[in-house]
Amino acid sequence: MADGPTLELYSFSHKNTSLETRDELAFSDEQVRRFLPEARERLGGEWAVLSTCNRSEFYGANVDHDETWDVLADLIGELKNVPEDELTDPDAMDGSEAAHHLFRVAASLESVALGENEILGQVKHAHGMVLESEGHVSVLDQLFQYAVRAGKEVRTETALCEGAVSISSVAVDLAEKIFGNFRNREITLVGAGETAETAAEHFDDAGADHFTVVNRSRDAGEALADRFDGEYRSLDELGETLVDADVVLVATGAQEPLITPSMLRRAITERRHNSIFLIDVSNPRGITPEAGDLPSAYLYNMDDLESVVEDNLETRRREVPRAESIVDHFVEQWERWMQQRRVTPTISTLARYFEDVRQRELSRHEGEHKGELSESEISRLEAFSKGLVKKLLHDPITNLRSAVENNQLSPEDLELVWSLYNLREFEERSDDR
Amino acid sequence: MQPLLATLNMFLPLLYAGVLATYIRHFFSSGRDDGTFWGTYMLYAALGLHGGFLILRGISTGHFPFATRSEFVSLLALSVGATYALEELRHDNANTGLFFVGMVLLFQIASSVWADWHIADVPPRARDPVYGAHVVFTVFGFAGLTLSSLYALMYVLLSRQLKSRELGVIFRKLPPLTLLEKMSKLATTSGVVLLGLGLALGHWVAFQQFSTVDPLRHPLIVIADIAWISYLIGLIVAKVRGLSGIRMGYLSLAGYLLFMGAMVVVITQLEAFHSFS
Repeated sequence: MADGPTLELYSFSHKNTSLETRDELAFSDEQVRRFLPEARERLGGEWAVLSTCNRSEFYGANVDHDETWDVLADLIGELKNVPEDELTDPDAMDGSEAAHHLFRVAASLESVALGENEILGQVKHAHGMVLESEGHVSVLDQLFQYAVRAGKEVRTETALCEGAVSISSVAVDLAEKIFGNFRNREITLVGAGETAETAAEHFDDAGADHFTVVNRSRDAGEALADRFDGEYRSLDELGETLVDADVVLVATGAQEPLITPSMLRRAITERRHNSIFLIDVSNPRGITPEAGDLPSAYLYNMDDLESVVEDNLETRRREVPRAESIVDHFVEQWERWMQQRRVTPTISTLARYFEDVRQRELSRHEGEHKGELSESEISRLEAFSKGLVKKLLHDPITNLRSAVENNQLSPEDLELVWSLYNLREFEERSDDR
Repeated sequence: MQPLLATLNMFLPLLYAGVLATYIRHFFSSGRDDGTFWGTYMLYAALGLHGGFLILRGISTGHFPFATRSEFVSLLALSVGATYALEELRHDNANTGLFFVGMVLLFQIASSVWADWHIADVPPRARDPVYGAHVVFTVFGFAGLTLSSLYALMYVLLSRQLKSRELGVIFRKLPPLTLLEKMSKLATTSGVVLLGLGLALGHWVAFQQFSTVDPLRHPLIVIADIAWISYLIGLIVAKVRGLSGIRMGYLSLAGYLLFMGAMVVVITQLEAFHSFS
C-alpha cells in the first residue's frame, strides 16, 4: 500500500485532565502488560503506553480502525475502572504532530517542572515495555528510539535540566558545591518537623549517611534521628554539635536565633576553620545573619534559596528555544524515516511488478516460438530481459530514494507511481494467486 | 634529526590547541555529558610527545634543553602540563583543565616562534647533569606553585560567589570548594618539594664550583630561598593550626604574586638569570 505507516496519540496530562482522573488513569507495569496485547487484538497495529504521575498517553502505529478512540476508551475503562464520561476528551494527535509531542515530553518541555530529569527514564521504560510486548513493533520502537535520543541531546547540549528548582534540592546543590559529596559529612538538623524531615530525605538521597538531630523535644528528635540512623542531641549541646557539623539546617519556630556569631566563631576555631554550610529555613530566623560573615561559614536563608530557585528556572526558560530546535531536528529525522518506510513497499512492489511482466513476456515469447529456440538462446533472452528490467528500474528507484533523502517526496508522488502501473491491482492479483 | 624536530616544533602547538578545544567543550558541557572524556588521553599523548621532543632536542644539541629562551619556555610548558595532568589524575576532575592547557598552549606557541636551530654559544653548565636536574626540579617546582595559586584564585572566586549568593558560571562550572582546596594543597606541596630539591641542588652546584657561599647571596637566590621557606611555613601552619580556605586562598595568591613580582624585578634589573663568573 502507498499510505505507509501511521501514528496516532491519545493524551491525558496535567494540561487537560484533573489530578484525580490522572491518578485513576495511572498504569502499573502489570496493567500495561495486559493492555498492549488487548489493544493489538481489538485494534490491530502496534501500541505503547507512557504513564507517569502527570500523564497517561497511548501511542498507536499502523492502526487501521475507524473508531480507534471508542474502542480504546472501552479497553481503558475495563482495565482501570474509570467512568466513561471521564474518558471523553483526550488530546488526540497523529503523524508528525504525535511524534513531536513525544519528543517534547522526552525533552521535558511538556513537564510540569520544566527540565525535570525523571521523564526521560519513564520514556525509556515505556520503550522497554513496547519491546517486551509480542508482535511487530518496528514503528514504535523507532519512534521511542528517536524520543530517547532527543531527550538525551537536549540534556547534553542545553542547560534545560541544569540547576535545582526546589528549595531542598537547591540546598543539596549548594552543599555539594562546597563539599563535593556527602561521604563522611555530618548533616545536622536543628528541629524535627516536616521541613527538617524533607531536607533530610533530600540529603539522604544525595548520599549523606551521618545525621544528627538537635531538637527541644527528645521524642520527636529521636524519632527523626532513628529514621536516618542518626543521633539525637539536646538543644543545650548545639554549640558542641557545630564543631563536627558540615551542613546545618535550622528549621524551628524558636523566637530567638539559636545560632549566634559568637557560638559559631568558637565552633569554627575548634573545627580548625573547615567550611560549614548553614541553611536557615526558620521563621523567625534561627541563625543571626551576621554569622554568615565569618570566613568559613556559608549562610543561606529562605529568601536566598528561593532566589536561587527563581534564577535556575529563568535559566531553564531561556534554554527552551534551543531545546525546541533539537526536538524539531529529531522530528525531521523521524519524518524522513517514515518516508523511507513509505517508499520501501513501493519500490519492492514496483520491482515485483516489472519481474512479473518480464516473466510473462518471456513465457509468451517462448510459447510463440516453441521448438525454434535453443537452450542457449533462451538463456540469452533470460539474461537480456533481466538486464533490461534492471536498467529500466534503476533511475526510478534511485530517484525515489534520493527524493526521500532530500525530503522532497510527497504522498501524492507515491500515489502517482502506484496509479501509473496499477500496482494495487497487481498486488490484489498476486494475493489471489 | 632536525627535520623531525622542526616538524614536532610546528606540530606541538597544534596538538595542544586540539587538546584545549576538547577541554573547552568539556567545561561548557560538564555535568551533562557522562561519556568518556578523551581530552585527558589527548593531553597525556601531547605531554609524552612533548617530553620526547625535548629529549631529542637535548640529544641533537648535546645539552640539556633549557639553554635557549625557546627551550626554557618549552620546558616550562611541559612542567605546567605535567603537574596539571597529575592533579587531574589524582582528583579525577577535568573541569579546570582549560585554564592550564591554555597556559601550556601559550608557552609552547612562544617557544615554537622563538625556536632557534643554530645555537652558537651554549654555557658549559648546560651540559652538567646535576645542574640539569637543578633546573628541571626548579622549573617543575615553579609550575606547582603556579598551579597552586591558580587553584587558590578559583577557590576565592567560587567562595565569593557563594557568599554573595550570585551563582554564575563560576558556580556552575568549577569543582567544589573542598576539591579546589585539595588541588591547591597538592600543587603547593609538590611545588615546595620540587623547588626545595631544585634549590638544594643549585646551592650544591654553586658551592662545588666556587667553594664559597658568596654566589648564594645573589638576590634571585635569596628571593627563591625566602619564598621557599615562606611556603614551607605556610604549609606547616595550615597543617598544624588550620586556616580557613578563603584565607589560605588569599595568602597563596598574595605570596605567589609577591614572589613572581620580586623575581621579575631582579631578572629585569640584572638582565640575566644568575651568572657567577
